Amino acid sequence: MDHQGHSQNPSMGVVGSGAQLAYGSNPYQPGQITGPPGSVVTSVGTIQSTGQPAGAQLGQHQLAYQHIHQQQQHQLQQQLQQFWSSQYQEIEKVTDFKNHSLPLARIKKIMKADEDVRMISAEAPVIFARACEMFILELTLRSWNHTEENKRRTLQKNDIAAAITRTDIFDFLVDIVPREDLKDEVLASIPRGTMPVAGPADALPYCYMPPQHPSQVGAAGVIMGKPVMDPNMYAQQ
Amino acid sequence: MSEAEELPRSIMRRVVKYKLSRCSEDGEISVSKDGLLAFSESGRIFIHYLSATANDICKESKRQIINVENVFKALEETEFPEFVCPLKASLEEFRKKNARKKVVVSKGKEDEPKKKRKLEGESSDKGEGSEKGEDNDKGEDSDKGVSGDDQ
Repeated sequence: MDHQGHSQNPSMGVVGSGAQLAYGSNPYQPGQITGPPGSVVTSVGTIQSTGQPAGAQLGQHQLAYQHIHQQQQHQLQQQLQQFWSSQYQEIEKVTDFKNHSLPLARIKKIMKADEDVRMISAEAPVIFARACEMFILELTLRSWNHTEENKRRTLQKNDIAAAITRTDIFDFLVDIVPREDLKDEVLASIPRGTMPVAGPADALPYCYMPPQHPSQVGAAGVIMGKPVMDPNMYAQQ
Repeated sequence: MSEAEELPRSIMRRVVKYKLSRCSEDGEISVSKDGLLAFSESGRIFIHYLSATANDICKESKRQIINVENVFKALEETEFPEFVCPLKASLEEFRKKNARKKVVVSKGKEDEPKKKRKLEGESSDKGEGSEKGEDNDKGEDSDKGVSGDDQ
């Protein structure tokens, strides 16, 4: 007797614990009526007995398919492991994750805005884009220092103004900082002790020295930065 | 200033946020709208400043095209010499990528005539006139000549 589903690919679905059937296939052959287990009743009415050897064959087939299925699973697992190991290696190689290049066409437009600039080589905008990115990173870092000093969590325009005024190489950016901000930042950046404090006009000098006559002054000398004076001068006073 | 001349704010935000995330370990740092605008404006002015300096260097060397070397010299003049080394590295990377692209394109161009010849052979077998095939060959040659002149 011909068992259904034995010619199927092992990758097909397994239905129950019996013979393997393809999805959507009809388990009942036309013109057949199933009778008691181990027999098939045909339309004519004759009962064909299915012997024990067929059951043994079925078991052998199932074992064979299971074995093949296991092998395939093992191969798939190996392939997956190889794939992921290669992926991890690639990931480990990558160190620079940022990918934010400025548009080259826009950079060309900005460059061409200057009437003196005539022709630009193809590689120049690429360098400009990267240089501009590096410049922004540098400016961000210096601005963030000011934000941190003021114990804030939001980077504001006055932080950028501070970075510009504090850094000499950013002098070309003074135009983007408003005058008020610039004054405030300049005042803030000057240390407190260095500002001159004006005293009263008629105040006496720090050390008052009496007028000296040439005859009274002896041999002048300096010991440890202090002028050596004649003791007679003190006696006269 | 026209909006076409502005640097894209989305990219500026990304660059700034990237740096800020590296600067501070604890929590997210926000950037105000006017701050972001200031960054964008700063970038634009930097490009103007650098291109003007590079253009001056270019004129000094009596050339019309602003070259990569002019840009590197301009960076040194504008007191950004620390940018030169990483920029040279990125330029090398860019050149390598371009070289790969050119190789791929040239291979594609070499394969195209072979494919055309095969197609012509098939069409002649089917019973089409050989004159058409000759015309096509002429057309191919003329196209090749033009592309050669362009390059």
